[in-house]
Amino acid sequence: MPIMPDISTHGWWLDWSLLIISMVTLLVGILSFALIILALIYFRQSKNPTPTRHLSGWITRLIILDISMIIFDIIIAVFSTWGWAETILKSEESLEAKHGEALTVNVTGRQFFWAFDYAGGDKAFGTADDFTLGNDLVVEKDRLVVLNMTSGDTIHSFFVPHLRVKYDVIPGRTTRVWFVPKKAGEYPVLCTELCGLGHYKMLSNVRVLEPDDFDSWLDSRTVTLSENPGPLRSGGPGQSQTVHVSDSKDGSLGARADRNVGVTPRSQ
Amino acid sequence: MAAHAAAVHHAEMGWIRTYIFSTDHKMIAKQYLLNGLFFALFGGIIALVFRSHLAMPEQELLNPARYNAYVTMHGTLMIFWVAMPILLGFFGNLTIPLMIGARDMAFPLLNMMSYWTFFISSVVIMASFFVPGGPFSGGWTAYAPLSANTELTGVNWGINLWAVGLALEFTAVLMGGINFIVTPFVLRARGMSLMRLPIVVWMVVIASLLFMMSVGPLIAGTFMLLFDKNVGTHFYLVSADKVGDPLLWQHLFWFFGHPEVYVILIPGLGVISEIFPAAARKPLHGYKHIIFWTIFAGILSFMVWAHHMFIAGLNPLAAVGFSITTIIISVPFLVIVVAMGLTLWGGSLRFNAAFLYAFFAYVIFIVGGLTGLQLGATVADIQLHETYFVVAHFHYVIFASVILSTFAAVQWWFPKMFGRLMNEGVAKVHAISTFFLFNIVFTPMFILGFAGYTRRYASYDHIPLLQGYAWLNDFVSIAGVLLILVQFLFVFNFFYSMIAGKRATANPWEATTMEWSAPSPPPHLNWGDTIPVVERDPYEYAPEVPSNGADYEPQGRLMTMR
Ligand code: HEM
Ligand SMILES: [Cu+2]
Ligand SMILES: [Cu+2]
Repeated sequence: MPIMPDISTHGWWLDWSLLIISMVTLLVGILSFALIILALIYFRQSKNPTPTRHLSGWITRLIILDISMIIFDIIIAVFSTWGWAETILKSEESLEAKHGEALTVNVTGRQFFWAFDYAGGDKAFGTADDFTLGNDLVVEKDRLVVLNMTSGDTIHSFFVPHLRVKYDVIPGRTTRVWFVPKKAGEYPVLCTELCGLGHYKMLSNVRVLEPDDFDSWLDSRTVTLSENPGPLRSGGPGQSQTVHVSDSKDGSLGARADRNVGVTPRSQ
Repeated sequence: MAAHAAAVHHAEMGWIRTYIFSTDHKMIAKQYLLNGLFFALFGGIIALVFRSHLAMPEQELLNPARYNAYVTMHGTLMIFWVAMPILLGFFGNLTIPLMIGARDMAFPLLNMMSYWTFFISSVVIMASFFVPGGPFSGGWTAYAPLSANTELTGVNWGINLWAVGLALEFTAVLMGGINFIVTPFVLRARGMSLMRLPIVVWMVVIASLLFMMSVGPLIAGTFMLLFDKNVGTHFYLVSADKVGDPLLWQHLFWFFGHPEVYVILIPGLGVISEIFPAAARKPLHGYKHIIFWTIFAGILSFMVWAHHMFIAGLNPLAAVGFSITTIIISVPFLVIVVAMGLTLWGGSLRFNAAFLYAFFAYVIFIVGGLTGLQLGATVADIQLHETYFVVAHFHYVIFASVILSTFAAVQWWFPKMFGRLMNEGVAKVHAISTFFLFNIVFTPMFILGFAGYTRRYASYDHIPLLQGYAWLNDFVSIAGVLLILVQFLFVFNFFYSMIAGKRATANPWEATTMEWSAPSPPPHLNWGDTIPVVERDPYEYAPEVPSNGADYEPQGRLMTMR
């Protein structure tokens, strides 16, 4: 399968339902095309000059086909709903009960970058040690991550192929996704909802650190920021400081450059 | 009404009333067809430009803003200015009066206004290419706030013209739709009971009803969009005190959008079902099943819209319900597809070009339907949503139902339009090369979708993640350019045959339905001094007791008027 390797704990559900559904669809497709090709071969005019007006036994065959289609449908419905229940529908409590305490990050999508707000060492938002990352989402391996996402301008969609995460990010609403990364490394984030001319450049990374590295990274963040107080959570709708499209009609807007607008440049 | 006897001996009409402001359903059909084909070619060339840009971004054919605009206009034009005029305006106008034995539509003047409103909408949407800021660039689905706030895209008049053009286009189709619904109920020839109507007529009626029932909310929604953008209301735009909801647009759009995709599907299926029996020389299998299951699918199509929004921020529990209705919709389509297959089974297949087109449409449609099921499965859709997989899915359905069945219909009914036959050889070469190229363009897109290729990206070259499949994406671009180029075979065949094609007899395909009893091309008001009378079911091929030595019984005959 051309699909990216899965580094999440829940990705299994997507991959297996995708595989099973694809295989069954492929099977149905191949069977239908085999029959269609047979029809073309056996019932061409030169081979079968007199058509059969009434086919016998087709009602039974149709019923059999219908029943197999319904079984096929039930397989799809059961698998997808089950998988949906195990991924999107999971409540935060049940997740924390299973995986331990979550790392909560507030995500804001903007034309054309992502901002990630951390609660800092005290794990509470709205305090002095909050900080904002303008480049990458840094998370800890094997730890539950919950993202509360909203948008500062238009609809974006947060897609991390390796983590099997995709969800729309909407102004005026908060959407939630979760994942537990199983492997350290850097994984790209893509925007999957057309959001303007820089849409295709709205890239970011999820950096998954080993627990030790993550702790020291968090400590270093807290130190730097305590010298430079003030909450850095980027503003809500209306106070956007992003470069407006109208300023750069030539389309030369670089995603990297405007990351530094509206978020702290000191994140790295 | 058009059918009264005096009208038959009408005076010679002027050039303008014959060719421009005509009320003749056949002329209006041709106008719709030509207008639709123009946009098909234009939309195809737009695709050629943006795929060339993807293949060689260093040439800078387009900047990213223009890329988005071209993608948007490609989708917009293909759905609203190609599929709608051809599948309803052309199929409906050409087939309904001739097939039911009427002399014209129930409301010929309304019919003329329908086309000319459509023409104005065409001018409006074309004008959007020439205004400052260029055409609309927020995707054919026009999700708010991107479509409702000029600052977000830099496009101002482009959006206004897009919305006004769309509203006009909807009005045109509604006016046409009134005729398509009323005419088969009130102007049927003697003996033409509802259960004797040819299938394509049923399909156009059902499609017009679906359109009429779903479009209202979107017309209102389009005006709300214009208000948000130009007047400062907050239907979709979120204000400081959190009034307004972007999801409202998506609900309005897809509540229309899913029935709409059936509107541009089922007339295509109707054309396939017209051609299959004639090619197989046996009756259409399961005529009533096809009609009833299509109506069922039509009703269900109002209950599936949020399958476009599984992860759009709506309550995730609702997604489960919409997923199940979406999966259920496969049952009616299974019955329809099997009925078509059983029509071929046991037949004596004549491989003429129209059949080739229809057959390829049938095959391609099956792939589209099956992949729709994959997308209807909530959890699988997380990975596939907004990727090239979706692009592949809907091109498989729409290319079959819109493009290939249009080719089939033009090839089939050309004699009734121009009194000539299209060239069979050229058409066969065109059909086979189109089928072949279509598959090599769109099958790789399924793979690209799995690999994470998101749609509507102006370039993929800067994304290391996707470089493994860059060669495949380039391959798609090259094959896509070829696919568009071979369409000129059709353009050539169409115009050449119009002028110099072989003269057609009244019934060159030995088909049964009433239009083949009329001369090729039928005169104004269709039946001259005769009155059509219907005597039997529409697809009496291989009759048990052949009455005239032929292997088919025409559905009716023409009685002479005294
Ligand atoms: C067998 C029935 C079908 C099923 C189960 C089905 C299912 C779906 C689903 C679930 C999606 C959303 C995918 C996503 O965005 O993640 C979708 C997209 C789409 N389908 Fe279908 N579909 C079917 C038939 C059709 C037909 C007949 C047409 C058109 C003639 C069609 C045209 C489209 C289009 C245009 C989109 C993409 C819209 C966009 O986002 O731009 N589908 N389909
Ligand atoms: Cu985006
Ligand atoms: Cu749909």
